[in-house]
Amino acid sequence: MTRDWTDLELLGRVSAPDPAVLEAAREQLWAEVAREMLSPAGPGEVPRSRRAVRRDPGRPRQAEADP
Amino acid sequence: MDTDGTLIERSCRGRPDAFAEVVSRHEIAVHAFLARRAGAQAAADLLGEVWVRAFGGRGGYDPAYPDARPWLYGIARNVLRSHWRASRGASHVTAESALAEAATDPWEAVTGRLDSAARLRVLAAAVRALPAAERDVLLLVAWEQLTPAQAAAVLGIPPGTARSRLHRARAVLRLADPVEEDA
Repeated sequence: MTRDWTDLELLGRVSAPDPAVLEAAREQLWAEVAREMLSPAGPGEVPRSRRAVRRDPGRPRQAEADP
Repeated sequence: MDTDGTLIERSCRGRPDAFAEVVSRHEIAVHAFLARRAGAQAAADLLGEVWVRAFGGRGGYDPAYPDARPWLYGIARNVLRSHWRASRGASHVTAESALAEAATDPWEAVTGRLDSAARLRVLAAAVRALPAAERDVLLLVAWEQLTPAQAAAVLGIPPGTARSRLHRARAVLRLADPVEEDA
């Protein structure tokens, strides 16, 4: 490992997040999970209308399109 | 243990709650990705948006890819772009490409967190001076511990292009470090 690499890692050092931060973010996810489970499309099915507007990539090889 | 791909596929087939396990595996890493580029406060504000976008887009994820981290970083990257775009005021910008370039520059935040070591300042300046495309690959590998191929997946470029950019960036950094150059 060269020194430039080690120093780069130093530049990128960040503190661990407060658990409350992670929990708050998870709650946003759970709200979406609940919404999907209660949607007319039925649990586990992504409504077509939402698929149409979401532009996140499905395949890891592709970067997400700009919003 | 189930792969991320298996969990995401399951979440699309009647078990949306399975996606929570994917989040649990990667939440520290994705938070760090955001915090390195935008600071801790913005990371806290944006992490939930990453999960919401990822959950909404999971239907297109190829479950053959076991590790969802590159995919999640790609989403986080675009959440950051949206954030910067909104915070800087899109109405003042006429060239979309120039805005995107400026918006993905993390060095304003990074400089503020540097310690006083002159060596790190020189390195930060050298990295900051890199073309954004090379810097993106470099930081995905150095900071997020991705392979060049995974960095390519995040950026939507061929793996060979990512390797070339990484090679060029590292060559520039070595030139910027007198000790490294002499070694």
